[in-house]
Amino acid sequence: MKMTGRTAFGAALFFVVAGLAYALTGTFEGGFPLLMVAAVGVALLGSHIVAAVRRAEREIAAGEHDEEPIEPHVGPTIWPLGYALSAVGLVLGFLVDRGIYVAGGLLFLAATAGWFADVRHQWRHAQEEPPDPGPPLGPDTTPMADEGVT
Amino acid sequence: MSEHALALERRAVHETSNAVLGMLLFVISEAMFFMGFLAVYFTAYANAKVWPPSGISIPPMGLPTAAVVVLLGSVATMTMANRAGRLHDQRRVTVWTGATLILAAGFAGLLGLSYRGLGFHASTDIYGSLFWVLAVVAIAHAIGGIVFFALLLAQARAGELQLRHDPLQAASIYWNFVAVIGVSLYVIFYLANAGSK
Repeated sequence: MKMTGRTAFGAALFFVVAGLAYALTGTFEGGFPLLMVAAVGVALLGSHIVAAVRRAEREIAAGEHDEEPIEPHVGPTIWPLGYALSAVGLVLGFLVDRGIYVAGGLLFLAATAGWFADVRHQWRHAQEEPPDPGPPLGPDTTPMADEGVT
Repeated sequence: MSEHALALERRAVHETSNAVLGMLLFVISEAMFFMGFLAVYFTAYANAKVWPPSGISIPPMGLPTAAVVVLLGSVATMTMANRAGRLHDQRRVTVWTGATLILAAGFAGLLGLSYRGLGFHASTDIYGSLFWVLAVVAIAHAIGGIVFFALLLAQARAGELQLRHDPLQAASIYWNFVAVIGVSLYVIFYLANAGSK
């Protein structure tokens, strides 16, 4: 995770340098802002990951035991594909024939209802069978040979 | 890798919410998508002698202004819902999420009404093409937000958001992004062209 965060910041720096180079040498005015948006986006991702690592470091330093996340297993569902197809229907309806709107709209409603039903089913299932927390993932209380070595 | 580093790695993975990480990736890709279209818009603007092109009338600003005000109000209610979620105040999460859902629906409705009878189409010229593509995508994002908030409201009413707060965080990231896009499009298509014709 630490390495992923650093890689993200490295990529952000790369995009900044590339953006500056493009601004000085390129001819397309949109190149610089596009590269800057990419830099900000990747830096945002890096900061999110680094924040998670720092939270983990603080918790380990405080001796808190890790808990299994409550997030239930999300099973595969076909309905996001339904959403994507309904978006195609709505765009084609806009561009080609307004009649296709109806098909896109119906598919949108069906995908919404189906996805809601899937999520509710998963939550109900997760509440009926809570996940086995397993052994604690925090550092062992027994002294280790390589303790303190990072 | 030492035991300590391994424990840190595993805990850091648990500290990273899949919902928030996925939403961040989605928002970053969407930002690139919008920036691509805006880059085309500004390139066309920079190369045009008259902007908007002749034959295009500037749309009236009343409804879009009201839509932006409602959008900013929904950002405020979303922030309150997120805050209530952090404090595990389930009742307020439900109230603020419901308010955000109503305001998001109002935003989408006002936006839709503002696009009626504009007098130019996607096939009119490059201004029309870019205006309509971005307008339709903005409305699609608003509808996506409505679905998202409805799902959150259902989870809040069922008490599921007491167990986890990250869906609210993800929704907050998404809606703040929609607000940035909504305000940007308002400035570019309405405010910037207000004195043109």
